[in-house]
Amino acid sequence: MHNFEILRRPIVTEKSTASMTQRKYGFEVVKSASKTQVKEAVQQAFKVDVTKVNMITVHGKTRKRGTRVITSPSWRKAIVTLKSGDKIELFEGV
Amino acid sequence: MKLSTEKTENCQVIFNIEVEPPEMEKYLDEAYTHLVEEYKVPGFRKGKTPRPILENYLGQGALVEHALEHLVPELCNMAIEEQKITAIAYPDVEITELEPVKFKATVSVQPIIELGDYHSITIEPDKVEVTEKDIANTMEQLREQKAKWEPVTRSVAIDDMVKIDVKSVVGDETVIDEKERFYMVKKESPLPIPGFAEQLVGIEPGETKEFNLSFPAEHEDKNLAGKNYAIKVTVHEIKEKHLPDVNDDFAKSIGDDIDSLDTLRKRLETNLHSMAESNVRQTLEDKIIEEITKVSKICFPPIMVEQEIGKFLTDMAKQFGGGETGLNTFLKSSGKTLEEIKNELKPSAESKITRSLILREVSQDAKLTITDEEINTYLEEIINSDPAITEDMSNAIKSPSGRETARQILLGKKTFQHLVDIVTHVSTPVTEEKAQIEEAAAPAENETK
Repeated sequence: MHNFEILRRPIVTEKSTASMTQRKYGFEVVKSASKTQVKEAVQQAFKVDVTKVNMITVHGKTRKRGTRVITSPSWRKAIVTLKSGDKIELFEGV
Repeated sequence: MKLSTEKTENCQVIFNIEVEPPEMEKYLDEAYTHLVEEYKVPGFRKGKTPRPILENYLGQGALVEHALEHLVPELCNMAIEEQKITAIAYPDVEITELEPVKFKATVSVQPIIELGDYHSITIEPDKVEVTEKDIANTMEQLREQKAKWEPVTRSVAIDDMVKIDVKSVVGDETVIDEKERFYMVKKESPLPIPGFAEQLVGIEPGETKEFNLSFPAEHEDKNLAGKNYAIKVTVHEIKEKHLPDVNDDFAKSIGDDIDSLDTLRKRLETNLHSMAESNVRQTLEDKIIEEITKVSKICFPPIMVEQEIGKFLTDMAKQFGGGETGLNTFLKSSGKTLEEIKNELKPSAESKITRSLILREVSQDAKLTITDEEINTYLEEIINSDPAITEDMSNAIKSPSGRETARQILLGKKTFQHLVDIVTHVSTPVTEEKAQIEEAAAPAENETK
């Protein structure tokens, strides 16, 4: 899988914007991605140095529709920490 | 704020304002605090969106636009204060550049009047004259009004009234088909077709006549010019006009309180005299204004003209039912567009403004005032003059706003009297007093009468 296919979208929320002050940026990544892959993808895409990658599986939410139970797909979130001084401009405005 | 001003001829000041970045930042910040509370950006609670993200979400200009709403009036006011200008209307703003923000504000200021030397204007008022001929003419008009129509059994003559059937067919089309229409046989009447009246002359009652008539080739209406009509006319009735004889009976029929021809004649004379007098007065007043306009420097902003026209249009709209619909009906009935009407009204609005400005200035110049007693007598006169005025109406007349209007009217009258005295060089107490004041060069407590 090519590096650029790893990252799906940046995550822009109140929480993620707040953690940007600590140089932590969130992405949705493909489920099968490994931390190394994410690190390399971010480094290549944004020309920055990644010091740390944390990954969480966000479980899909279930809701009932009549008798059926529907689950929205679960996905994987990666939070990358950059070397001090680095920045990803993309997040400035999304 | 960088500010440059220029003055235009018609009492307007143009500000060219450029907003400097730090100042702009202040307004942008303000705009952000407003907007952030209004928009919900996905991923953020209301009011929690950081500024860059909000800017991006709303698009580039949104913040600037919002900022301008506050910035423009505030800066205009600042500019007006700084330049010590008395603006009479909200400035007309035109934004020329956004980066950095530059705009042009056109402010209408108080009209400027510099009265020329109106004391040296001399106008000879027209003589008030009522000639015997005028009275005779009026008498003749009264006779026409009181004329009786009496049926006769002769053939049609000029100045008769006839009852006729008219039918005209061109090809298969019936152009006119009227039964028992009254028609005045007037010499050289252009209606319905030139020559129609003459054709009727000589027809006996009950007789039918057929004739051809055509419109002249140079007729105004291109559709009708040169057209030929075959017309069939049947005369039913002929009435002759009988003018009443000029005698006491005729005089009595004019009015209840007129008992003889002499009284009528006198009544006519006084009426005509007062009419002529007011006409002369009117022309004199117009002339005075015209002359003063010539020697004085007067300028007023176009917005005053607009307002004057607006006032007139609202009045008209009121007569046609009021509001937007009223205005539209009025426009429809006059068959003109709003633009055309406005252009038509412009000169009269301008002269009206000039007139009121001159009057105001002169009254201030001469220090004319109206006392409360004068207003009281004037109001009493109005109320007593018309028995139809009810309690409510007289109360309305006596209200503060009514008194103010009365004051305006009286002041206008007095000012005109003052002006008339000046231009005709009549020495009245007012002018004398004024002269004294001028000599003493101490225009302190002068209560002009």
